[in-house]
Amino acid sequence: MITVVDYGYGNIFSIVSAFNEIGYSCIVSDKKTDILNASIIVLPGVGSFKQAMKSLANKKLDKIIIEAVSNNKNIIGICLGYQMLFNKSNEFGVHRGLGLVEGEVKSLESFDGSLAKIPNVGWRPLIINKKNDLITLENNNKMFYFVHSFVPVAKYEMQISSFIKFNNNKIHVSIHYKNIVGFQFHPEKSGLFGLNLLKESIKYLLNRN
Amino acid sequence: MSLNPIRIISRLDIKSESVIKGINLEGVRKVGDPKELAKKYYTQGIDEIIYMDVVASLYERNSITQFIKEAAREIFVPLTVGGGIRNLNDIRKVLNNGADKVAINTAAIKNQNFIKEAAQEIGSQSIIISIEAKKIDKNHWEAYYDNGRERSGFNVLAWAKKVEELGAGELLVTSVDKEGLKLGMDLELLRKLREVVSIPIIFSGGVGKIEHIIDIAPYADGVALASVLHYNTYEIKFLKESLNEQGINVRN
Repeated sequence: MITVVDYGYGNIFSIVSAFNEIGYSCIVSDKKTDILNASIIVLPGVGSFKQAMKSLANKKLDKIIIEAVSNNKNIIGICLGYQMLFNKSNEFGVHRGLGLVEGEVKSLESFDGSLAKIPNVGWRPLIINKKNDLITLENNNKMFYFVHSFVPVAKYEMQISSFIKFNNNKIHVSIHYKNIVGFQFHPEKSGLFGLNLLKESIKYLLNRN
Repeated sequence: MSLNPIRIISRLDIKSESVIKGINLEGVRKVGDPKELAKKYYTQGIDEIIYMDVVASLYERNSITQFIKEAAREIFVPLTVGGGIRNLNDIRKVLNNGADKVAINTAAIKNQNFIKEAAQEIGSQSIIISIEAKKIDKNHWEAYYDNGRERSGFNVLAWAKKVEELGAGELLVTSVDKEGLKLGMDLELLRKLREVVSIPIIFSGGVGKIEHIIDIAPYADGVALASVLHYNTYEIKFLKESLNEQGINVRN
């Protein structure tokens, strides 16, 4: 059972539609038991980091997710949900994240921001991190849809599965590490290549157990 | 610096459950079914889809949620909805039904604070401000609303700058004078806009040939196509391949 966490943030309808399209049914829930019984927790998110973390905490879901994922439960974070996996964010103040991945979320402006436009909106080609090796090279140079002004910087680059070029920097746009998968971009909005990567990632998680 | 790919976007103007197309936003005729056309363009490789419910702002109703839900079940690229978005609830309603962004014109002109409120509550990434620009004089364009019928008195360039300050995530700018004519886009307007705002600009109105896209590609982040797709002038795959051959970066 795949459980999409319903906490008021994120394009849940599109995410569920994408999972259905590639052959996985999922439930949308904010109940503790549905999260604990999930084979994969999906954490969506669009909007403000601070508000989203607050909403998760108000529903007392933050601690449940932290404990489950620390105990080897699979999770997929998408967009803001990806950023929330990290220790903290610098989006309008400093805010604590779920702390499941070492690293912090930074403004794109901190990457030599004068050259590229912010927010970073549109289709960008992925550069696969060959040191990570958990997603196939077929995804290399394929374009995925991004819309963001902040991005996580992971402490350990080997946890990062792909980058994109932003100005002269390579920024960390997905993670595949043990039971944790995350995407800064929207695989559910990235056409066939997005659906393929989503499918590949679900299979990776389910076969890992 | 290599340019990011320009987004090739299909714009579906919808009235009474049909996709329509006019000239200068007037004299409309039916060109197809919204669901079928959107699915066809998605399959052919469109980067994004904009639904414009052209009568909603006139009759103060909103008939588009159902389309969006059906579309989002089988189309996996970003979807934008415009037409008749009046308040935060309208925005939430379409975003919860599978849209990724909303395009707002009339409500923004009537209440500028709405832009700020929407950007803060929903997030700039989902808020596109739609501007209908009519040329008045050299270097002077006026913003219209209600599908090119009503004058706002706003200077388009000043208005664009203002909405960026208020938190708009992107602009959708339609040149009313060029719209539907297929004779090329208002390059002058786009270049002026590029000088005053740094948020992404989706430019709309006037594309009849591949060359028209090449002309604007250095300045626009996205180009909205209607006639060339609805009347089958180009198949999207062919269009993208041709652009690529001409050195224009598009999604593969």
